[in-house]
Amino acid sequence: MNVSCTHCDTTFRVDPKKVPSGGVQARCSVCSGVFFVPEAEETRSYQPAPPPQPARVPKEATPRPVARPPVVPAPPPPATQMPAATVPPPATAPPPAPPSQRAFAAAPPPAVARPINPFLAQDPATKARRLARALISDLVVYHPAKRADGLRDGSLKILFEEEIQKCWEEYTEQVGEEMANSTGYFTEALNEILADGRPVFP
Amino acid sequence: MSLINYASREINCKLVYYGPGLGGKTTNLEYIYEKVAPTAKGKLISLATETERTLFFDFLPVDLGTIRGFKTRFHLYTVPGQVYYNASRKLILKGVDGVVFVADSQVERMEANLEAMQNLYDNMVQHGYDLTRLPFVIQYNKRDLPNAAPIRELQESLNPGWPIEDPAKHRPVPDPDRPGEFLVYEQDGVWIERVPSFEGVAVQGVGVFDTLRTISKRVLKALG
Repeated sequence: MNVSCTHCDTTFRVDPKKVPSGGVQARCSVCSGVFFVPEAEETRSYQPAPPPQPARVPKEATPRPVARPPVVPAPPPPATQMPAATVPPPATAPPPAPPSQRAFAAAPPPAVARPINPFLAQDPATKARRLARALISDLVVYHPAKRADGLRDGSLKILFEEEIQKCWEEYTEQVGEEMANSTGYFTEALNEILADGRPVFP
Repeated sequence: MSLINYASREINCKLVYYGPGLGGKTTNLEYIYEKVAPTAKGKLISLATETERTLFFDFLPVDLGTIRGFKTRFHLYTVPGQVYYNASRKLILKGVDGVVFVADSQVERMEANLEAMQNLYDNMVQHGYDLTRLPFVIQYNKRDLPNAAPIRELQESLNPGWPIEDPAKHRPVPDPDRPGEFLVYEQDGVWIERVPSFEGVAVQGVGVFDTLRTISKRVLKALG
Protein backbone atom coordinates (compact mmCIF):
# COMPACT_ATOMS: atom_id res chain seq x y z
CA MET A 1 0.00 0.00 0.00
CA ASN A 2 0.94 3.63 -0.48
CA VAL A 3 1.78 5.73 2.57
CA SER A 4 2.76 9.40 2.59
CA CYS A 5 4.73 11.16 5.30
CA THR A 6 2.54 13.93 6.68
CA HIS A 7 5.58 16.18 7.15
CA CYS A 8 7.47 15.98 3.86
CA ASP A 9 4.93 14.20 1.61
CA THR A 10 7.40 11.49 0.64
CA THR A 11 5.51 8.42 -0.57
CA PHE A 12 6.56 5.02 0.70
CA ARG A 13 5.66 1.53 -0.30
CA VAL A 14 4.60 -0.49 2.75
CA ASP A 15 3.45 -4.06 2.86
CA PRO A 16 -0.05 -3.82 4.39
CA LYS A 17 0.59 -7.06 6.28
CA LYS A 18 3.32 -5.31 8.24
CA VAL A 19 0.91 -2.78 9.70
CA PRO A 20 -0.71 -4.13 12.88
CA SER A 21 -4.44 -3.78 13.41
CA GLY A 22 -5.22 -0.28 14.60
CA GLY A 23 -2.29 1.20 12.71
CA VAL A 24 1.16 2.18 13.84
CA GLN A 25 3.40 5.20 14.40
CA ALA A 26 6.23 5.38 11.89
CA ARG A 27 9.28 7.50 11.46
CA CYS A 28 10.01 8.87 8.00
CA SER A 29 13.43 7.83 6.79
CA VAL A 30 13.71 11.05 4.79
CA CYS A 31 12.73 13.85 7.20
CA SER A 32 12.64 11.84 10.46
CA GLY A 33 9.13 13.11 11.18
CA VAL A 34 6.75 10.76 12.97
CA PHE A 35 3.39 10.02 11.42
CA PHE A 36 0.55 7.58 11.81
CA VAL A 37 0.13 4.71 9.36
CA PRO A 38 -3.45 3.41 9.48
CA GLU A 39 -4.31 -0.20 8.96
CA ALA A 40 -4.97 -0.96 5.31
CA GLU A 41 -8.60 -1.19 4.20
CA GLU A 42 -8.20 -4.59 2.60
CA THR A 43 -6.44 -5.95 5.66
CA ARG A 44 -9.41 -4.94 7.79
CA SER A 45 -11.99 -6.27 5.35
CA TYR A 46 -10.54 -9.55 4.26
CA GLN A 47 -8.10 -10.49 6.98
CA PRO A 48 -9.72 -9.84 10.33
CA ALA A 49 -7.30 -12.17 12.05
CA PRO A 50 -4.06 -12.28 10.09
CA PRO A 51 -1.77 -15.17 10.88
CA PRO A 52 1.14 -14.27 13.11
CA GLN A 53 4.32 -13.39 11.28
CA PRO A 54 7.75 -13.96 12.66
CA ALA A 55 8.85 -10.47 11.76
CA ARG A 56 5.99 -8.73 13.52
CA VAL A 57 6.65 -7.26 16.92
CA PRO A 58 3.96 -8.26 19.41
CA LYS A 59 1.92 -5.41 20.79
CA GLU A 60 2.73 -6.27 24.38
CA ALA A 61 6.42 -6.02 23.71
CA THR A 62 8.36 -3.30 25.46
CA PRO A 63 7.48 -0.04 23.74
CA ARG A 64 10.10 0.70 21.16
CA PRO A 65 11.34 4.22 20.79
CA VAL A 66 10.69 5.63 17.38
CA ALA A 67 14.18 6.98 17.19
CA ARG A 68 16.50 5.02 14.97
CA PRO A 69 20.19 5.24 14.36
CA PRO A 70 21.04 8.35 12.40
CA VAL A 71 21.26 7.94 8.66
CA VAL A 72 24.41 10.00 8.44
CA PRO A 73 27.24 9.69 8.01
CA ALA A 74 26.57 6.13 6.98
CA PRO A 75 26.35 5.84 3.19
CA PRO A 76 22.94 5.14 1.75
CA PRO A 77 22.62 1.39 1.27
CA PRO A 78 22.30 0.15 -2.29
CA ALA A 79 18.76 -0.18 -3.45
CA THR A 80 19.20 -3.83 -4.19
CA GLN A 81 19.87 -4.65 -0.58
CA MET A 82 16.97 -2.75 0.89
CA PRO A 83 13.69 -4.62 1.18
CA ALA A 84 10.53 -2.74 0.36
CA ALA A 85 9.34 -2.77 3.94
CA THR A 86 10.61 -4.61 6.92
CA VAL A 87 10.00 -4.78 10.61
CA PRO A 88 13.23 -5.38 12.45
CA PRO A 89 13.13 -8.06 15.13
CA PRO A 90 13.11 -6.84 18.74
CA ALA A 91 16.63 -8.14 19.30
CA THR A 92 18.04 -5.48 17.01
CA ALA A 93 16.06 -2.64 18.54
CA PRO A 94 17.87 0.69 18.49
CA PRO A 95 19.12 2.21 21.74
CA PRO A 96 16.51 3.98 23.89
CA ALA A 97 15.56 7.44 22.79
CA PRO A 98 15.62 10.49 25.02
CA PRO A 99 12.50 10.86 27.18
CA SER A 100 11.09 13.53 24.91
CA GLN A 101 11.01 11.08 22.02
CA ARG A 102 9.64 8.19 24.04
CA ALA A 103 6.28 9.90 24.14
CA PHE A 104 5.72 8.74 20.55
CA ALA A 105 6.51 5.16 21.35
CA ALA A 106 3.00 3.82 21.52
CA ALA A 107 3.68 1.10 18.98
CA PRO A 108 6.66 -0.21 17.12
CA PRO A 109 7.37 1.57 13.87
CA PRO A 110 7.10 -0.45 10.67
CA ALA A 111 10.61 0.76 9.87
CA VAL A 112 9.51 2.56 6.76
CA ALA A 113 11.55 1.52 3.78
CA ARG A 114 13.28 3.77 1.34
CA PRO A 115 10.90 5.90 -0.68
CA ILE A 116 9.81 4.57 -4.04
CA ASN A 117 11.76 7.33 -5.70
CA PRO A 118 14.59 8.66 -3.52
CA PHE A 119 15.24 11.49 -6.00
CA LEU A 120 11.90 13.10 -5.23
CA ALA A 121 12.84 13.67 -1.58
CA GLN A 122 16.26 13.41 -0.09
CA ASP A 123 17.76 13.83 3.30
CA PRO A 124 19.98 16.98 3.18
CA ALA A 125 22.95 15.15 4.71
CA THR A 126 22.72 12.32 2.18
CA LYS A 127 22.52 14.89 -0.60
CA ALA A 128 25.55 16.76 0.72
CA ARG A 129 27.63 13.62 1.03
CA ARG A 130 26.75 12.49 -2.47
CA LEU A 131 27.42 15.93 -3.94
CA ALA A 132 30.87 16.04 -2.30
CA ARG A 133 31.74 12.62 -3.66
CA ALA A 134 30.47 13.42 -7.15
CA LEU A 135 32.42 16.70 -7.28
CA ILE A 136 35.63 14.96 -6.31
CA SER A 137 35.08 11.94 -8.53
CA ASP A 138 34.74 14.38 -11.43
CA LEU A 139 38.27 15.61 -10.67
CA VAL A 140 39.52 12.06 -10.95
CA VAL A 141 37.93 11.37 -14.35
CA TYR A 142 38.71 14.77 -15.84
CA HIS A 143 42.35 14.94 -14.72
CA PRO A 144 43.65 11.37 -14.56
CA ALA A 145 47.26 12.21 -15.47
CA LYS A 146 47.50 15.10 -13.02
CA ARG A 147 46.11 12.90 -10.28
CA ALA A 148 48.61 10.15 -11.03
CA ASP A 149 51.43 12.73 -10.80
CA GLY A 150 50.04 14.06 -7.54
CA LEU A 151 49.73 10.63 -6.00
CA ARG A 152 53.22 9.67 -7.10
CA ASP A 153 54.93 12.92 -5.96
CA GLY A 154 52.73 13.66 -2.95
CA SER A 155 51.70 16.95 -4.59
CA LEU A 156 47.94 16.49 -4.87
CA LYS A 157 47.20 19.49 -2.68
CA ILE A 158 49.25 21.84 -4.83
CA LEU A 159 48.27 20.42 -8.20
CA PHE A 160 44.54 20.45 -7.48
CA GLU A 161 44.41 23.61 -5.38
CA GLU A 162 42.36 25.57 -7.91
CA GLU A 163 39.94 22.76 -8.76
CA ILE A 164 39.37 21.92 -5.11
CA GLN A 165 38.60 25.56 -4.39
CA LYS A 166 36.03 25.61 -7.22
CA CYS A 167 34.46 22.40 -5.97
CA TRP A 168 34.28 23.74 -2.44
CA GLU A 169 32.56 26.91 -3.65
CA GLU A 170 29.98 24.90 -5.60
CA TYR A 171 29.54 22.56 -2.64
CA THR A 172 28.91 25.32 -0.11
CA GLU A 173 26.60 27.12 -2.52
CA GLN A 174 24.47 24.03 -2.98
CA VAL A 175 24.40 22.57 0.53
CA GLY A 176 24.81 25.77 2.55
CA GLU A 177 27.77 26.87 4.64
CA GLU A 178 26.42 25.36 7.83
CA MET A 179 26.14 21.88 6.38
CA ALA A 180 29.48 22.23 4.57
CA ASN A 181 31.38 23.39 7.66
CA SER A 182 29.70 21.16 10.21
CA THR A 183 30.27 17.88 8.35
CA GLY A 184 33.38 16.24 7.03
CA TYR A 185 31.92 14.94 3.77
CA PHE A 186 34.07 17.11 1.54
CA THR A 187 37.38 16.21 3.21
CA GLU A 188 36.28 12.59 3.42
CA ALA A 189 35.67 12.57 -0.35
CA LEU A 190 39.03 14.23 -1.04
CA ASN A 191 40.94 11.65 0.97
CA GLU A 192 38.92 8.65 -0.10
CA ILE A 193 38.51 9.39 -3.80
CA LEU A 194 41.17 11.88 -4.92
CA ALA A 195 43.93 10.71 -2.57
CA ASP A 196 43.03 7.06 -3.03
CA GLY A 197 42.33 6.45 0.65
CA ARG A 198 45.37 8.28 2.02
CA PRO A 199 44.85 10.96 4.68
CA VAL A 200 46.32 13.76 2.57
CA PHE A 201 43.70 16.37 3.35
CA PRO A 202 43.25 17.28 7.02
CA MET B 1 7.73 24.67 -23.84
CA SER B 2 7.43 24.15 -27.58
CA LEU B 3 7.44 27.24 -29.77
CA ILE B 4 5.30 27.49 -32.86
CA ASN B 5 6.57 29.22 -35.98
CA TYR B 6 3.51 29.98 -38.09
CA ALA B 7 5.56 31.36 -41.00
CA SER B 8 7.44 28.11 -41.54
CA ARG B 9 4.60 26.02 -40.12
CA GLU B 10 6.95 24.36 -37.65
CA ILE B 11 6.67 23.38 -34.01
CA ASN B 12 10.02 23.76 -32.26
CA CYS B 13 10.74 21.28 -29.48
CA LYS B 14 13.69 21.31 -27.11
CA LEU B 15 15.35 18.04 -26.14
CA VAL B 16 18.09 18.15 -23.51
CA TYR B 17 20.70 15.44 -23.08
CA TYR B 18 21.56 15.39 -19.38
CA GLY B 19 23.93 13.26 -17.34
CA PRO B 20 27.28 12.99 -15.60
CA GLY B 21 30.49 14.33 -17.07
CA LEU B 22 32.16 12.19 -19.73
CA GLY B 23 29.11 9.94 -19.86
CA GLY B 24 28.48 10.26 -23.62
CA LYS B 25 26.01 13.13 -24.09
CA THR B 26 28.17 14.89 -26.62
CA THR B 27 28.94 11.62 -28.37
CA ASN B 28 25.21 11.00 -28.75
CA LEU B 29 24.68 14.40 -30.29
CA GLU B 30 27.67 14.18 -32.58
CA TYR B 31 26.52 10.80 -33.86
CA ILE B 32 23.01 12.09 -34.54
CA TYR B 33 24.38 15.18 -36.25
CA GLU B 34 26.59 13.10 -38.47
CA LYS B 35 23.71 10.89 -39.59
CA VAL B 36 21.06 13.54 -40.21
CA ALA B 37 20.78 14.66 -43.83
CA PRO B 38 22.54 18.01 -44.42
CA THR B 39 19.38 19.60 -45.79
CA ALA B 40 17.42 18.75 -42.65
CA LYS B 41 19.79 20.13 -40.03
CA GLY B 42 21.15 23.43 -38.82
CA LYS B 43 24.67 24.23 -37.71
CA LEU B 44 26.33 22.37 -34.87
CA ILE B 45 27.08 25.05 -32.31
CA SER B 46 29.54 24.46 -29.52
CA LEU B 47 29.69 26.60 -26.40
CA ALA B 48 32.99 25.78 -24.77
CA THR B 49 34.06 26.19 -21.15
CA GLU B 50 37.52 25.30 -19.86
CA THR B 51 36.92 21.57 -19.80
CA GLU B 52 33.43 21.09 -21.21
CA ARG B 53 31.46 21.77 -24.29
CA THR B 54 27.77 22.39 -24.62
CA LEU B 55 26.57 21.35 -27.99
CA PHE B 56 23.47 22.48 -29.76
CA PHE B 57 21.88 21.88 -33.12
CA ASP B 58 18.42 21.66 -34.56
CA PHE B 59 17.00 19.38 -37.19
CA LEU B 60 13.79 18.50 -38.89
CA PRO B 61 13.12 14.78 -38.85
CA VAL B 62 11.52 13.61 -42.03
CA ASP B 63 9.93 10.46 -40.68
CA LEU B 64 7.84 11.79 -37.82
CA GLY B 65 4.99 13.27 -39.84
CA THR B 66 3.10 16.43 -38.98
CA ILE B 67 0.81 17.61 -36.22
CA ARG B 68 -2.22 19.46 -37.62
CA GLY B 69 -0.22 20.45 -40.65
CA PHE B 70 2.82 21.57 -38.67
CA LYS B 71 6.19 19.91 -39.01
CA THR B 72 8.25 19.41 -35.89
CA ARG B 73 11.78 20.74 -35.58
CA PHE B 74 13.84 19.31 -32.75
CA HIS B 75 16.47 21.35 -30.99
CA LEU B 76 18.98 19.09 -29.28
CA TYR B 77 21.16 20.34 -26.44
CA THR B 78 23.78 18.80 -24.21
CA VAL B 79 24.65 20.22 -20.81
CA PRO B 80 28.06 20.42 -19.15
CA GLY B 81 28.14 17.27 -17.06
CA GLN B 82 30.80 18.22 -14.56
CA VAL B 83 29.06 18.85 -11.25
CA TYR B 84 30.22 22.40 -10.73
CA TYR B 85 28.69 23.77 -13.92
CA ASN B 86 25.25 23.69 -12.39
CA ALA B 87 24.32 27.23 -13.38
CA SER B 88 24.75 26.35 -17.08
CA ARG B 89 22.81 23.12 -16.71
CA LYS B 90 19.93 24.89 -15.06
CA LEU B 91 19.83 27.54 -17.75
CA ILE B 92 19.80 25.00 -20.57
CA LEU B 93 16.86 23.15 -19.00
CA LYS B 94 14.65 26.21 -19.32
CA GLY B 95 11.85 25.53 -21.78
CA VAL B 96 12.70 21.84 -22.14
CA ASP B 97 10.16 19.53 -23.81
CA GLY B 98 11.94 16.24 -23.27
CA VAL B 99 14.95 14.92 -21.35
CA VAL B 100 17.37 12.14 -22.20
CA PHE B 101 19.51 11.11 -19.26
CA VAL B 102 22.74 9.53 -20.51
CA ALA B 103 24.13 7.46 -17.66
CA ASP B 104 27.70 6.17 -17.56
CA SER B 105 27.40 2.43 -16.91
CA GLN B 106 30.84 2.16 -15.31
CA VAL B 107 30.67 1.11 -11.67
CA GLU B 108 33.11 3.89 -10.76
CA ARG B 109 30.69 6.52 -12.06
CA MET B 110 27.66 5.37 -10.08
CA GLU B 111 27.92 8.21 -7.61
CA ALA B 112 28.25 10.73 -10.43
CA ASN B 113 25.17 9.19 -12.10
CA LEU B 114 23.16 9.48 -8.90
CA GLU B 115 24.28 13.04 -8.33
CA ALA B 116 23.46 14.04 -11.90
CA MET B 117 20.03 12.42 -11.65
CA GLN B 118 19.34 14.16 -8.34
CA ASN B 119 20.54 17.41 -9.86
CA LEU B 120 18.14 16.92 -12.79
CA TYR B 121 15.17 16.37 -10.47
CA ASP B 122 16.17 19.39 -8.36
CA ASN B 123 16.74 21.74 -11.30
CA MET B 124 13.45 20.73 -12.88
CA VAL B 125 11.63 21.52 -9.65
CA GLN B 126 13.37 24.88 -9.48
CA HIS B 127 12.05 25.71 -12.95
CA GLY B 128 8.59 24.61 -11.84
CA TYR B 129 8.58 21.53 -14.10
CA ASP B 130 7.47 18.08 -13.03
CA LEU B 131 9.86 15.45 -14.35
CA THR B 132 7.31 12.73 -13.62
CA ARG B 133 4.99 14.27 -16.23
CA LEU B 134 7.52 15.24 -18.87
CA PRO B 135 8.82 13.04 -21.69
CA PHE B 136 11.88 11.42 -20.18
CA VAL B 137 14.12 8.56 -21.33
CA ILE B 138 17.28 7.02 -19.88
CA GLN B 139 20.20 5.64 -21.87
CA TYR B 140 22.73 3.40 -20.13
CA ASN B 141 25.82 4.16 -22.14
CA LYS B 142 29.21 2.43 -22.38
CA ARG B 143 27.68 -1.04 -22.21
CA ASP B 144 30.73 -2.42 -24.01
CA LEU B 145 33.10 -1.68 -21.13
CA PRO B 146 34.14 -4.55 -18.86
CA ASN B 147 33.42 -2.53 -15.71
CA ALA B 148 29.82 -1.77 -16.71
CA ALA B 149 27.35 -2.35 -13.87
CA PRO B 150 24.48 -4.80 -14.50
CA ILE B 151 21.40 -3.19 -16.07
CA ARG B 152 19.19 -4.39 -13.23
CA GLU B 153 21.27 -2.44 -10.70
CA LEU B 154 21.30 0.66 -12.86
CA GLN B 155 17.55 0.46 -13.33
CA GLU B 156 16.92 0.10 -9.61
CA SER B 157 19.12 3.05 -8.76
CA LEU B 158 18.45 5.46 -11.60
CA ASN B 159 15.00 4.46 -12.82
CA PRO B 160 13.05 3.68 -9.63
CA GLY B 161 9.82 5.09 -11.07
CA TRP B 162 7.12 6.88 -9.17
CA PRO B 163 3.71 5.95 -7.79
CA ILE B 164 0.73 6.49 -10.09
CA GLU B 165 -2.12 8.16 -8.28
CA ASP B 166 -4.70 8.04 -11.10
CA PRO B 167 -6.63 4.72 -10.75
CA ALA B 168 -7.48 4.88 -14.47
CA LYS B 169 -3.81 4.26 -15.20
CA HIS B 170 -3.55 1.26 -12.90
CA ARG B 171 -2.96 -1.36 -15.56
CA PRO B 172 0.24 -3.07 -16.65
CA VAL B 173 2.04 -1.52 -19.62
CA PRO B 174 4.68 -3.77 -21.20
CA ASP B 175 7.97 -2.16 -22.13
CA PRO B 176 8.10 -2.43 -25.93
CA ASP B 177 11.90 -2.26 -25.89
CA ARG B 178 12.49 -4.74 -23.07
CA PRO B 179 10.58 -7.98 -23.51
CA GLY B 180 9.22 -9.35 -20.27
CA GLU B 181 9.54 -5.99 -18.49
CA PHE B 182 6.94 -3.36 -17.77
CA LEU B 183 6.84 0.43 -17.81
CA VAL B 184 3.79 0.38 -15.54
CA TYR B 185 3.49 -2.38 -12.99
CA GLU B 186 2.12 -3.17 -9.56
CA GLN B 187 4.40 -3.91 -6.66
CA ASP B 188 3.26 -4.47 -3.08
CA GLY B 189 -0.11 -2.95 -3.93
CA VAL B 190 1.37 0.21 -5.45
CA TRP B 191 1.27 1.04 -9.14
CA ILE B 192 4.60 2.32 -10.37
CA GLU B 193 5.60 3.96 -13.63
CA ARG B 194 9.14 3.81 -14.96
CA VAL B 195 10.60 5.63 -17.92
CA PRO B 196 11.84 3.84 -21.05
CA SER B 197 15.52 2.94 -20.98
CA PHE B 198 18.04 1.85 -23.58
CA GLU B 199 21.45 0.29 -23.59
CA GLY B 200 23.98 2.22 -25.58
CA VAL B 201 27.48 2.29 -26.95
CA ALA B 202 27.31 5.83 -28.24
CA VAL B 203 30.77 5.82 -29.85
CA GLN B 204 29.49 3.09 -32.17
CA GLY B 205 26.02 4.58 -32.46
CA VAL B 206 24.43 1.66 -30.61
CA GLY B 207 21.19 2.73 -28.94
CA VAL B 208 21.57 6.36 -30.03
CA PHE B 209 18.67 6.46 -32.48
CA ASP B 210 16.49 4.12 -30.39
CA THR B 211 16.78 6.65 -27.60
CA LEU B 212 16.14 9.63 -29.87
CA ARG B 213 13.16 7.97 -31.56
CA THR B 214 11.51 7.19 -28.24
CA ILE B 215 11.99 10.63 -26.73
CA SER B 216 10.79 12.27 -29.97
CA LYS B 217 7.65 10.16 -30.04
CA ARG B 218 6.94 10.94 -26.41
CA VAL B 219 7.38 14.66 -27.02
CA LEU B 220 5.05 14.53 -30.03
CA LYS B 221 2.49 12.57 -28.02
CA ALA B 222 2.64 15.20 -25.30
CA LEU B 223 2.05 17.91 -27.91
CA GLY B 224 -0.79 16.10 -29.63
